[in-house]
Amino acid sequence: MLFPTVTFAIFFMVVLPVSWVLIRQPTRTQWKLFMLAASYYFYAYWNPRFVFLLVASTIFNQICGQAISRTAGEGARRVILAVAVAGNLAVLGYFKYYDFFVSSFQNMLDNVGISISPEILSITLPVGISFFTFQALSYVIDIYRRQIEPTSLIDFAVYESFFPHVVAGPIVRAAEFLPQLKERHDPRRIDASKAFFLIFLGLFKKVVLANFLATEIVDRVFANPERYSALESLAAIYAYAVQIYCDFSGYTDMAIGLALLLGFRFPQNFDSPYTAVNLQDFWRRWHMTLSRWLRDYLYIPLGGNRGSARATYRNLMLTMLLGGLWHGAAWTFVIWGGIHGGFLSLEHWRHAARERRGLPELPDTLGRRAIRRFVTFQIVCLAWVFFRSESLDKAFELLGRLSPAHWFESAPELKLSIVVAIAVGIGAQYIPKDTMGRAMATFSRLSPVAQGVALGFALLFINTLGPRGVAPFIYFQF
Amino acid sequence: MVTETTRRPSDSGETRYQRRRHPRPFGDGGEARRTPMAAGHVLFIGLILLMIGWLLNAQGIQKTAEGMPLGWRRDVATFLADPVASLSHFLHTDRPREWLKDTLGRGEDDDINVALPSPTTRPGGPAGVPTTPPTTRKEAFSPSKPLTFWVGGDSLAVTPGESLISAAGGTDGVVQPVAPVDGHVSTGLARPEVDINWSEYLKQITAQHNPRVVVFTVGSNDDQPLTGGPPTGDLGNPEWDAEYRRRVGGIMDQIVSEGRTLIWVGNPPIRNMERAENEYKVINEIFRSEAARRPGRVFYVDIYPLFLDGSGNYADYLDNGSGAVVKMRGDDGIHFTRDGGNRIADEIFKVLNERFDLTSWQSTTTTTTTTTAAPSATTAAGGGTATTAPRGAATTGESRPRVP
Repeated sequence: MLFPTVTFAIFFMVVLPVSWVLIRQPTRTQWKLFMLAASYYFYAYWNPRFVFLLVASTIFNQICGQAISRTAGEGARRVILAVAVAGNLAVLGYFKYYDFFVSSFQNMLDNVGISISPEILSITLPVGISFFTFQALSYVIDIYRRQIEPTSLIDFAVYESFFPHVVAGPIVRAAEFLPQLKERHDPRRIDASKAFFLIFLGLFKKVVLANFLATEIVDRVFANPERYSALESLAAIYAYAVQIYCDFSGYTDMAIGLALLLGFRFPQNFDSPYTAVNLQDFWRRWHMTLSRWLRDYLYIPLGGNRGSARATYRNLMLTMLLGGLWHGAAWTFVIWGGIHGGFLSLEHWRHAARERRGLPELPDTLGRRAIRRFVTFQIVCLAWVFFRSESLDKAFELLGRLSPAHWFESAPELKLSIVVAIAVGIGAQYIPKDTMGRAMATFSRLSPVAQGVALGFALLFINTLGPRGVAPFIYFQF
Repeated sequence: MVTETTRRPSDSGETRYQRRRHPRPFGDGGEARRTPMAAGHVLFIGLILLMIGWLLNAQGIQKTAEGMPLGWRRDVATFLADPVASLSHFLHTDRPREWLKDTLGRGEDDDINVALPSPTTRPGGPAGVPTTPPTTRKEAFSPSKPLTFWVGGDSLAVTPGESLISAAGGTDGVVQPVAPVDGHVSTGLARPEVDINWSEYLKQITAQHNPRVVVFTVGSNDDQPLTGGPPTGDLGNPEWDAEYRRRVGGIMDQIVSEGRTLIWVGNPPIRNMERAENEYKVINEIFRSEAARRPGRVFYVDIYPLFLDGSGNYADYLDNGSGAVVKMRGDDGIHFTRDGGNRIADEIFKVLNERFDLTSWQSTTTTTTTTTAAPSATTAAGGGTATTAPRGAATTGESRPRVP
């Protein structure tokens, strides 16, 4: 069940009032059972069998969390944690990486003359497995670190399966969500204007911008780069940068908005990432919930920047490479992670070198900031080429099209509408936050009828401009 | 009057009464203050939004409802959507959408056209389209006189189509696409009201681009009752078979009557092998037999055996012919990866080489190593079926034209 569909609209119009009626009950048990049923129904819409996987993940991690909490000995706690981490990664590995590694191993041996025929299982990937596995891991690890106490099974089940975030995030921490289950939810105090604003902004990003750019230029150029000029290739790369941002941030905008209507707050997941002045800044703005997950559960446990400079670079590189692999079992994702890891290390090295020489920070002038933003965007786009391409060959082929030889070729595919869509996608990130805030505040002061009519016309605009049908969200496959 | 006993101090010093009547606004720090809303108002806005949104988008919603999978949900959806569409038309609230669509050049997006094609080839003998093969002499093409093709169909057409266009790029311009791959998700011949009516759409496409060859892939969404005509029941009923055959034959005749060559790509096996064996194979047999009735003009490319493992089962990973095991199918167990698409493109090129002369332009002095597909690949079923031969069976061992 995709958010921008009539089916989901009907589902949500049923869930919303029932949720607000039940959440006022003192014990909230009925609300939890209802929300659990609604979330499992939502998840089962893709493949009912995988609801059992979600339930199994919940029970397994709850048992591990409880066991860690009740165990006093540090060694035993560590063993249980290891079991929990291994169990979660085993499930993730089985569904996501088994066939990839088995076939790669088979081909590797074949290259040295050893022929084996291991069983390749042709496994169906459960939607959202990376997201709910990471959430479950954070719960168990936070209990181990004594940052949170284990909660009841039903609370944990609601947290792991809550339908606004179960398939594509944002990756909400247990410490952020579980306390909200105990808070008083006032049905007279809903941040509806922000919620509607986010939902419709997300719809516009996904249905209009992302789908338009995908069908008009990105898919065809990335599929057959050899057919396109340098200008078209460059436009396709920038268009993909906008497409993936609009697709993923559009989804999370909708998820955050829907959760707000139900009375729950999710953490921000995107903060105008293409205005970043360096890669460190980019990762503070792009898929923020994954970035901090990787930082807290991978980078810092690896040693972070507490060791030598070399250890810091190694940790950065490892974190980004694994972050790349998290997206999928392909070398293109590894290279994507490698580019980010490499440039992040370079930034650290440059910063450390200036410090060593006692040089002050360069002044942050407007011109300098513009140059830094431009350079950062080009690096991010370079990495996107690998992220999007079907293979390394295709990625290099596309980059090869940017050579001077192809700059004077005609570019019939590059239409004004594409340039405008790219400009809107990037330019909108420079709109000051308080402008958005004032728009939301103004909207919130309209009468309910005026709000409904305004949103109805917004729906007309989005539905008419968007192509027929709804393309799947890019991040569903991860 | 609020007495001391009813007062319940909060952080802001407000009473419960004050909080109930004037809930604190949202927006901390420098943020502009947003007025909170009660759940009832949210629902009220939702209802107005749905009402206004529905009236303004009624034509699009009606088409979406018509295109839903057959069953009670579709029945309910059309029961609700049809009168709202009429009301919207009556109130003129559908005009802004029409105007916007026309401005975007997509005025036909919301049209529902269920006109069905009819075959002109009769079972007993020739009619509008000859049942005898065209002249045995191959028509020659060269960079100055390219062989143009259009490729499209349902979502299974997309990746193989991209592979085909990529492969055409290696022919020095002898084989050229007239447009990017034209794939339409969830479409087929069973439900002309879903997204596009292929028969009508192909008329537009061929008139617009005038391709010499049409490469068409549909069928994977067609294992359902047929709409747009008399009731047929499910796949397997004689009525279903006759009507589907009529539609397939109609499209084939429509394309080839304009002097074009049609390459019809069949259904692959999918992870749900029960569906593939019981339904896709039945549909493929209709494609094959209808193509066989139009020899030399319609070529059926049977990709089913190309995506089975050694035991005859569905497989995501298969040998690519060079000894490497590569992923050929998407994570959904239905669509293709680029390697899978390349495999299909190879088979299509075998047909192109069989049907057309793509290489003689290169030289008249040197004996060219031809890339004509193996006879075994195209002689079955009256010369209308291709690709059941093993990969690499072409006379040169190459499956794509070598045009230096």
